[in-house]
Amino acid sequence: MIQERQALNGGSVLVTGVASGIGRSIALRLIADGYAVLGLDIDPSPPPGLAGFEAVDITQPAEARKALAQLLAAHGAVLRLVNNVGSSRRENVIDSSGDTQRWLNRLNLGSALLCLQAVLPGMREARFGRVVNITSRAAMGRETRSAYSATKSALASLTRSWARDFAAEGITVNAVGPGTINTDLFSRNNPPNAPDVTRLREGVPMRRIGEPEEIAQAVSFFLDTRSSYITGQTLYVCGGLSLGAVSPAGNGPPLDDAIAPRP
Amino acid sequence: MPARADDVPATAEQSRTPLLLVGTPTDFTTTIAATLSKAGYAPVPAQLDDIPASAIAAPPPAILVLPPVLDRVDARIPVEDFIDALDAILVPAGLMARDLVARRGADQGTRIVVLLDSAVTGPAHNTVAAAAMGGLLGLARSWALEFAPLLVTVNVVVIGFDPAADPGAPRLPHMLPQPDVKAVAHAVAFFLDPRAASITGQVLSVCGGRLASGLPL
Ligand SMILES: NC(=O)c1ccc[n+]([C@@H]2O[C@H](COP(=O)([O-])OP(=O)(O)OC[C@H]3O[C@@H](n4cnc5c(N)ncnc54)[C@H](O)[C@@H]3O)[C@@H](O)[C@H]2O)c1
Repeated sequence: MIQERQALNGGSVLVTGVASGIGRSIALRLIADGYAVLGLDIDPSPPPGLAGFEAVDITQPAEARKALAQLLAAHGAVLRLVNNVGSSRRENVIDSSGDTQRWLNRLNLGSALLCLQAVLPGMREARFGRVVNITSRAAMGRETRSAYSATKSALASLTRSWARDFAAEGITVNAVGPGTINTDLFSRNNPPNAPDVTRLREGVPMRRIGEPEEIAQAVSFFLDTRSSYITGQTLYVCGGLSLGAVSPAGNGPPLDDAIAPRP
Repeated sequence: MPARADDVPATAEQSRTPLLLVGTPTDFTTTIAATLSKAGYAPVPAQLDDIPASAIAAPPPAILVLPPVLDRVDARIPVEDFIDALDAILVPAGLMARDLVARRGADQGTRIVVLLDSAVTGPAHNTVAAAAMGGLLGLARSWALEFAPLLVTVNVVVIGFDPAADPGAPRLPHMLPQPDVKAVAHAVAFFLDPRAASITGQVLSVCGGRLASGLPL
């Protein structure tokens, strides 16, 4: 059976935005899992151990198509795809000119469709595929980040639509929604004392920022051949932030303290 | 029994609440406007990418963003066209929020309702509409948070049925009869009402059970 062969082979997986942050951690994890990892990034410094890499600006569809074609020509069909590349810019609505939205439509959404189209023929032929889109907890709304939130909510909606499109062909499409994760992107956009950042920090029930490896864990799960009956789902990896960042009092103290007798 | 939006008698023109209707009208949304008109609103039409200067100078207290009218296009669409379609919706939507709300400052009490169609749930073979409706949902939820200090509310109503479907067609046993356009207008009127001042960032599906038991959005 094709699925069993895939499980034995590992096979290749394409990860976008592979040079740093979450994408880099995903690549390293998938190499350790036994996959041949192919990467794309504008930054020509991929992690060690990739089976293939192309440096390209993924917001330029014509160039990105060429880079994808080169990777596929050199490595054959790619049956697993991680649409990780993405970015964000802190911006209040009052300051927007539309440029952030235009940029993120290309980077966070156009890239996902472009890569899907490149790998889809191989997946359909194999009647097997795994697609994981990296969305964000911000898909559920984020002040100072409306353009970003729009693209991530759109990607969440696309995850459901594409899951239905290809479910009957053995191709699963799922999403991982990171919360606040320790990468350059996060530190660049989140001044420690801004009110929205305080809200998020205090809203994380685990009371800590997440590590990129914790996102890679969820991605690896969805890519697994055995995750064959899961599609259209979003797994939030967010320390509980997606439960709702209510008042800090909504996140109780550890149970031992909470039930300690009052003096 | 509380009055439905369509039962409320028309009020004198001068006491009507101005309601900016932003987007491309269809028969369906024109009926919503007519129903809201009977409920005391004075609808003023505007295109998403062409908000009249008069509205920017004196923004209305109520804004209804209509769902973009989109052809059904699947994942084979050229990426360039996909991006153009999203730019054409999400960019002017953001600029509208900037010009009508953000630049206006505090204590406005403006009510914004964003009307989406069921493509927001991610139906098959509908890549552009799924992304566009999902994008508008993300914008609306973010505006709700960002505009809360201005006392502006932003909520979403989902048209969770196919308005073009025959209302008399057989339905599955778990469903209520197909809602009509007035049911959607009623949900919009609920969020526009000054008494809904504490409700923001919410999504309400008018679907007669069609979206029940699915994933929450
Ligand atoms: N870090 C977080 O807290 C967080 C939270 C939620 C979601 N995410 C999502 O996770 C994904 C990865 O984020 P990250 O924090 O690792 O970001 P990052 O900025 O640390 O890394 C992004 C990578 O994408 C590459 N890239 C950027 N623009 C590119 C372009 N035009 N063409 C090709 N490559 C390009 C960068 O060079 C970089 O290697 C993104 O989709 C992001 O939205 C991150």
